[in-house]
Amino acid sequence: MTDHLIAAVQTHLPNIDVNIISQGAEALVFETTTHPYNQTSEDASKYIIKYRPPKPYRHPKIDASITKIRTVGEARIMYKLSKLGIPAPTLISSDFNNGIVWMEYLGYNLPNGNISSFKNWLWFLEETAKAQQDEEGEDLSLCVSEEVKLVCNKVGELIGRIHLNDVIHGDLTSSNIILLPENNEPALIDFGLSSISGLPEDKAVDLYVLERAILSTHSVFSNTYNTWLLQGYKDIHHSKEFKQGSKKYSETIKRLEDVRLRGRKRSMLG
Amino acid sequence: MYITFPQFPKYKVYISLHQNISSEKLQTIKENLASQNSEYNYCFLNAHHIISLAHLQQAIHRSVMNYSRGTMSAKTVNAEIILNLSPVNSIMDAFKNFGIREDCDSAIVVKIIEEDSNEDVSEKLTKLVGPESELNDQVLFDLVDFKRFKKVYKLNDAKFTHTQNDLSKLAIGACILRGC
Ligand SMILES: Nc1ncnc2c1ncn2[C@@H]1O[C@H](COP(=O)(O)OP(=O)(O)OP(=O)(O)O)[C@@H](O)[C@H]1O
Repeated sequence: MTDHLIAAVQTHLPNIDVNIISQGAEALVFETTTHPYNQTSEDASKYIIKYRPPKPYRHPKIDASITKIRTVGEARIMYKLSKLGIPAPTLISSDFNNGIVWMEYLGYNLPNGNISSFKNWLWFLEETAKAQQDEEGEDLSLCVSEEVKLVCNKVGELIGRIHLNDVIHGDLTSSNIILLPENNEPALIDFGLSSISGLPEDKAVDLYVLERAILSTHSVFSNTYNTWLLQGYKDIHHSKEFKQGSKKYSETIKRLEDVRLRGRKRSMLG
Repeated sequence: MYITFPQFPKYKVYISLHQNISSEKLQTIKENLASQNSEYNYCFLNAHHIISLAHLQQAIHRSVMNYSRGTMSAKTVNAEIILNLSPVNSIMDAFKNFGIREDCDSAIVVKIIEEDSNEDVSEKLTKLVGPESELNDQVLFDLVDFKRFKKVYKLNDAKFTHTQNDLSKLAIGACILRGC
């Protein structure tokens, strides 16, 4: 199944070493050590290639146009964020007709070898805390340290920043937030479902998706994390940098309460 | 210098920088380009609007890709490079911003050749344009007309434009999204 997709990407990228790191519903993500056009000799950098393969169940012409629209759409959001100075991968190269985008590799490897997503980092802290625990019982303070609080606040600020620029991420999970080697500064990835909207409803849904993701992925401390995230979200809206931020903040949070209520009703109905 | 792209080993690319070109020489080049003299079958670029080697090489890479696949938007590969440097679809604007002009004394010349060709590009270019200057990122950065560069790439409202790397990444993004 995956093999023929890898073979397909290799026909478009001959002589490029590709190492698959993720296979989602829509795209394959590879890492490579080869730069498409600017390889420098002592360069140990890695790059990401995101590939949307053809969908055999769609008419080829329609498929090609859908693939192109989605690939371009994602690239456009990445460019917009770069221009705004918001941490996200920058574009390196594209082959939109074949659903290919090359981008900067973000993040670093955690001591356990996993990529430094917000999710992996929180899990790593939990793992470390549990391994260190002695007879006196649980000490999970590592998971709710000042550093974790700071990172959560910064993630909230980051999301606030994109919302203040009317960018909706569309798939906010803790694995789509990558911590950078510089002070665990958060960056966003995966704009496959992103859109541009100023509506409080769309922003609230974005926040709700993240809230649910934190609840299911980091359940022990989810309330604490969500509180800290929302604090950062609030702070950035009240900073002088953004006009009308506090008004936008209250509209979105009001909406978030409605969205939560809808979510609860839906789950009660099953 | 010669560069090659791993994806397209059939081609190599010659790139050179020429500075202090006299206006008579520029005039001659322009005339020969206009009359499509095959001796002048090179891509002549205005060096003042190119921020880094990566910026230039992104456009060449994309042009070689389109050339080798037969999917070029421009008539020739030299024009394709100029178009792929531009953030807008109009070929006229691309030539205005990235082609050479009489008032532009620093030019970058690009030639795409088959890997097995042993044509001496360097010698021919020295005759046509004059001696080559050293070409590296620092030299390119020193030559950039920042005001024009930022205007061409619409970067006046961009947040971080302090370093060569910042500007280079933004220019590359704008080129990639041309016409999208
Ligand atoms: N720029 C990047 N730098 C580092 N790692 C990345 C980058 N982009 C993607 N990844 C890695 O690849 C994984 C999948 O990427 P992405 O989320 O963009 O693909 P996707 O197909 O939309 O995934 P999914 O369908 O699972 O949401 C990420 O979780 C991350 O680990």
